[in-house]
Amino acid sequence: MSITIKNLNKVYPNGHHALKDINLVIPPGMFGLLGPNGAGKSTLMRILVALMEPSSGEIDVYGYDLLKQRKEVRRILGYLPQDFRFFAKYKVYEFLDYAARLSGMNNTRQRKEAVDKMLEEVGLFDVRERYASKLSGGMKRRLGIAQALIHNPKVIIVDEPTTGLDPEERIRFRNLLSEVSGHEVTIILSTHIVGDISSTCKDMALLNRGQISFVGSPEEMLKMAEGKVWRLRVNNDQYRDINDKYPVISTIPMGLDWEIQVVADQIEGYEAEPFPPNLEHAYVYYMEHHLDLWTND
Amino acid sequence: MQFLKNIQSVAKYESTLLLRSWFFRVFAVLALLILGAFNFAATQEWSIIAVPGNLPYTILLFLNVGQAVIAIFLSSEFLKRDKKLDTSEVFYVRPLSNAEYVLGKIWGNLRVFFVLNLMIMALTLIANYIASTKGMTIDWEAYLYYFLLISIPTMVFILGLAIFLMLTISNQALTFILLLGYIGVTVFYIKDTFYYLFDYMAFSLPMFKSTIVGIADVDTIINHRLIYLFFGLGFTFFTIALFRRLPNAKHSHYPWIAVGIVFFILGGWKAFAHVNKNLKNDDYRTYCVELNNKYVHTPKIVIDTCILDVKQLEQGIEVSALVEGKALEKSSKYTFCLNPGMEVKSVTIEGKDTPFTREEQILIIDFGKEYEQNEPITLQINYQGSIDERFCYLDIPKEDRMEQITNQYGLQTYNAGQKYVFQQKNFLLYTPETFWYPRPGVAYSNQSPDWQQTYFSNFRLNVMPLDSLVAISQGEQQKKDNGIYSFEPEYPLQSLSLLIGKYEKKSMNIDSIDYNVWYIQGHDYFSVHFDSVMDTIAYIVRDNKENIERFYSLDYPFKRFSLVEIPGQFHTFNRAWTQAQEVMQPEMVLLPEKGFNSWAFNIAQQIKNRKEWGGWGRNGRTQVSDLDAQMSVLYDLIWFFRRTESNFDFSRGKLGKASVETSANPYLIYPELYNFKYNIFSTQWPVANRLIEIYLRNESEENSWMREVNGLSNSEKASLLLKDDSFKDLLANEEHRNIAEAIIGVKASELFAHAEMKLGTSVFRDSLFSILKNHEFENINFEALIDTLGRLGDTDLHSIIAGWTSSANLPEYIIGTPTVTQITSKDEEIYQLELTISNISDYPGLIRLEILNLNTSSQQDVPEDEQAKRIIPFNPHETKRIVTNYDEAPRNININTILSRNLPSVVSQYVTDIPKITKNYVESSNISVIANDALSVPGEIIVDNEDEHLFELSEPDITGLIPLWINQSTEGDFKYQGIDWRPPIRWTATTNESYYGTSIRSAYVIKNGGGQTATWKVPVPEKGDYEVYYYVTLPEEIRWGGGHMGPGRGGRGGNQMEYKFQIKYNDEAEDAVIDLRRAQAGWEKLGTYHFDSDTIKIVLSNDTNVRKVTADAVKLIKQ
Repeated sequence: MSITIKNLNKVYPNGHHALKDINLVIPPGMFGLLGPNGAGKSTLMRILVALMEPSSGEIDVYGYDLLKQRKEVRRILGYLPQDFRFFAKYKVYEFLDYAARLSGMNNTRQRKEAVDKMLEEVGLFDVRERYASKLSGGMKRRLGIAQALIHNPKVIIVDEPTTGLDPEERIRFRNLLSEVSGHEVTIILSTHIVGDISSTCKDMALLNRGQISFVGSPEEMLKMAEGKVWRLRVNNDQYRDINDKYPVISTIPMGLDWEIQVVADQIEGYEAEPFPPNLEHAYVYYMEHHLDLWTND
Repeated sequence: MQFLKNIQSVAKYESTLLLRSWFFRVFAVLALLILGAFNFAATQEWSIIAVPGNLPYTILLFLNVGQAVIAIFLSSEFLKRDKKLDTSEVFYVRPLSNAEYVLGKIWGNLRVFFVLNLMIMALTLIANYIASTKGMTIDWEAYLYYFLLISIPTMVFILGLAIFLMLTISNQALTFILLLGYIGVTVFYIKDTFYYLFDYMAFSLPMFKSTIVGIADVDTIINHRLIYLFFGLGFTFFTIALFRRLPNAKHSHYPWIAVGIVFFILGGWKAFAHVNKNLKNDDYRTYCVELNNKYVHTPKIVIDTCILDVKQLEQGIEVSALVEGKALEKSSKYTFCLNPGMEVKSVTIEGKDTPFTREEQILIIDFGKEYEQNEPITLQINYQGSIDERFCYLDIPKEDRMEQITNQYGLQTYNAGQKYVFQQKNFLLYTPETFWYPRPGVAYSNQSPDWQQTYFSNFRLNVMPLDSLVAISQGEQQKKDNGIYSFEPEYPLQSLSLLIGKYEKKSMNIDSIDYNVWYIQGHDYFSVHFDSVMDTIAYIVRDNKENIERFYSLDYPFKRFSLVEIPGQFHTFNRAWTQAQEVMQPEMVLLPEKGFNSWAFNIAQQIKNRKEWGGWGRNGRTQVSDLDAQMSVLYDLIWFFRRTESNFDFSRGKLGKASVETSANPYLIYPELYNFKYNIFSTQWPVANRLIEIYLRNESEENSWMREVNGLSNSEKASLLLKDDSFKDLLANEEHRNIAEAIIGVKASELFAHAEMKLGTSVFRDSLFSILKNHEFENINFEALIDTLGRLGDTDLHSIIAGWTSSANLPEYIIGTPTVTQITSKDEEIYQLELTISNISDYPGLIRLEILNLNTSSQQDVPEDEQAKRIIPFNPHETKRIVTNYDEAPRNININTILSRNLPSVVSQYVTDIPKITKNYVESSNISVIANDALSVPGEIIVDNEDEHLFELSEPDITGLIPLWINQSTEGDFKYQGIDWRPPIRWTATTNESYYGTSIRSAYVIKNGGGQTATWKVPVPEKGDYEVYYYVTLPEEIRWGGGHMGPGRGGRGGNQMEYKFQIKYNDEAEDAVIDLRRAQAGWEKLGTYHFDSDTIKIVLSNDTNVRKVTADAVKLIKQ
């Protein structure tokens, strides 16, 4: 039971080649799709939830051909779009009820129980009578995941779910997803925030400029960055010089000087001590060294 | 099942959204409030109380317009929501199909609207229930029908169209404009063209539901509504196909395109059927007229006796007609006319089947042997079928047959439609117009008046109606044991009508005439209200009958008089050749159900009003007794049959100009006294009978206020038309159908004026009456009658009639001001009228001089008639001085130029100022020819607005397209326009007897302000001192109150009312004013001036505070 993407391309009518020959196998469990803004994550997500048609390629979702068997795929799909803020004038429980109905939960009593349970789970039961548009950002996001989960989907696709959330909400949200991922489902989490992935995903892919540049586990990615992160203390002039040459990922003022962290194979001309990398470092290193993203021209 | 469940789910939440939208809430609340209140207003109206179906009909029509507009705005929400809000994508990714989603959304919207409809109908029901105290019943069916026919197709269509457009155009503003434009165009512009094809809201479509026969032409209406239902569904299915969400399966939108196309084809087919049916109807009618033209001159018989045995069928009748008559000319084949819907089974002569041919209405019977003229013929025709309604009123143009029949007073929304025949299981109405029994000759031909020959025949009728129905026709009704109703009219009739229905009657015999009211079972809402007046009814009826007979100098000939209730959709037309419309039948008047279209029939309310308001008099409030109230209402009801005009129709037409039209009252009783008794026929003049009829009816000129609004009276228009076209051509011209009566009227007046001259008006009229009396129920040959009348009047009327084929040479008169003097001589005291009239044209003419207020005993040497009415002939260029002596003051003098170029054609002079003198010798009454210059005063120079070279007007300074529009709009109008309470913004010519003028008393009128001027250029023959006068017509502001108050007095103190002039002479300009508050009507002095130059100018400005400025005439008198 997995999602297999073969030779997927998407070219927009304006000629923008958003996805280039994507090949990807997504196993069950939590899968992170990492990439900077504009990398094509949302395009890939929208294709996966059948909101958009690819220009070419094949997608198999749990044995169904997404291009031909949309109805079957839609049946096992839960989706939380990137921008989940503007609501028609529905109350919280109505929103869930509507979603549940449309997913084929016809039995009124069962549906009501499911809705209530889901509201409890995401902690929205107390505001169930409130209009969805009146919820706070975090609550909205929780409502979003609730509607994506209400019908017990096999595949859950969440697009940039933590953007704009405060740290507390973000953690809460991640935990919620982790809980669900224990239920034999595939969760595809698209994000540009490395922390989302490091804390939850066991598999991940890196998408940049419409191409997959890494597939593997977060640990594998971390490994690649070992010995490539340096910590050094510099003055203002030095800082400017280093910043021109290497990606600086952390800057802490120390009196008149700065303590900075830099990602690089080697630092020449400065006294630098190696620093243990985290996933974010790995991400930056990867972007810098494999894709020449941050060329300072 | 999941399909429906999903639709239901989407619909549920779509409805929720709609109900939460403020826009809709405001609309719904307003609709409930306004229409709720409106319900209660509507239930005050008799047309709604009497026909309760009109209540839901009216209410739903109003609601429908509102919701059709609102639906457009809401449909934009539909897509806007889906476009902007990302959250709707979480529903798009669900496994439901596009069809389920779109259908669910549309259904969700629709059902909210339908619930609103139901709520409003519930309010309507409450109002309806409350109005039951007024005798209103509840027509449950109507609620269902109108909901199905009005609301559902409209909403499905407009939502489908709106959403489809919104999707394809993707521009909200543009879609709004398109849709609102579409609604506007259909409601205000296209309206009923193409037989209501574009009337998607059913706003004009006739859907009146009678309490007797229900909705007429249900098939047509359903067909029409299906057009929009189908197109609406078609648009919906296209929307599914075009919906911007990936469908559940590839290519799954193709089936929906196919379904959309199917519904479009269905809608198109229904639309085609609708238009085609109507177009074919028109073709068919044209074909029938052509057939009539073809056979109009074929031989026919005159029917003496016609015995009809009629059996009512579920639809139509089965008839055996025994016809006895005489051949009108020698032939072996004779032509009859029978409605084309009636199938002739057999024709037998003396028991033997006889061959016949049938072409639509034409039935030609081949008798197998030649008949001589006047040889008796007997035959039997057996036929069966139902009336083909298309055959009725072949002469009436489409515009008139398509005209919407709305209630004149009140709501004016529903359209009662036009039905000319009813034939269903429980009700049947055949008037002669349907040709339901064979009549000799053909029906309407536009080539020869021969078709119109009607003859008096003796009818006998036996009717076997369907179970328990009652048959009504002319003659005494006798019901036999076998259920057959038989009728044997006592008099020969020109035609016969047949009604079958659940009739009951109230009857009363007064002076050996049976007065019947035939009403449909359950419709006796009236008798209970006349309880107190029952003992007096006989008196009231007798009084009115005598009054009417005296008024028209004609007797009511029949043994009974019946008012018969018929369905409200029945419609009749006014025709040039007869006063009698189809609602008038011999000895009966057909009244629409409960008289719903006239307030006079709201008897309970009328009586209540009398009691509430009638008691207010000079001495405070007094009690109005039941009897008085009921009597008064009864007189009003009778007046319904006595008034000549039914309605005043106000409209604003070109350039916002008001006009008022009246239509003949179809219920005027007159035909019972004249048309059904007399028949004057002519092979050349189809209007012969009408000519005599209008002459004898002797109606006074139309109201003067109407003339003022319309600019010209109908008689004047007729005269102006007759100047250019012949009488014959005008009669044939459909364009002038609405003033045909006036055209015939002036021709009749002119024709008989010649004969009246010799005998005196009254004597001549009496002679004509007595000739008619001798020929009751007989055909009178017009030419022979004219012969006789000419001989009586010692004049050759034939030569005048001969001139009717060419345009008329109209005389033109100058009419002097009549003066009346009270003269006391030695042994008597008399009033002497002196009047000078000059014929200034090259043609002879007649003047009718009438003193309207005179009811005196006569002078010994003057016949009574001449005291009050006389005709005075004028040769070309002849001036006559008329002197007449009266015992009483002749205050109200009417000078009628009959048929002339004069405008106004009738001058009414009211004499207020009568000087007294004493004389030894009193000039006896005489008419003398005097010199032609008698009316002009030496030394006077008058310049009138009619002087093209000496009178000038300024043009308002308007730029752009307006002048073009004005010129186009005024093209083809008569030169002289009406002036209503809103004066025109540019100088407008109008005529009125109070203006100065020779044969045309005209002036130019304009609204005040704007610097417009009128200039008179007056030639001055020699240097010297001149008095300058202006001809003043006092404005209404002064005539009605406000008059002759000096500045500083009265409510509008200091508000001067002046005409401001400039007198331009000797290279300088001097101001002059006329203070209208002090002025008298007529010549008013501006001042005395010394003129050197040979032409001076007098300029009138419209910069004044008098609302209406009149430019008429100026006068100079040499000192």
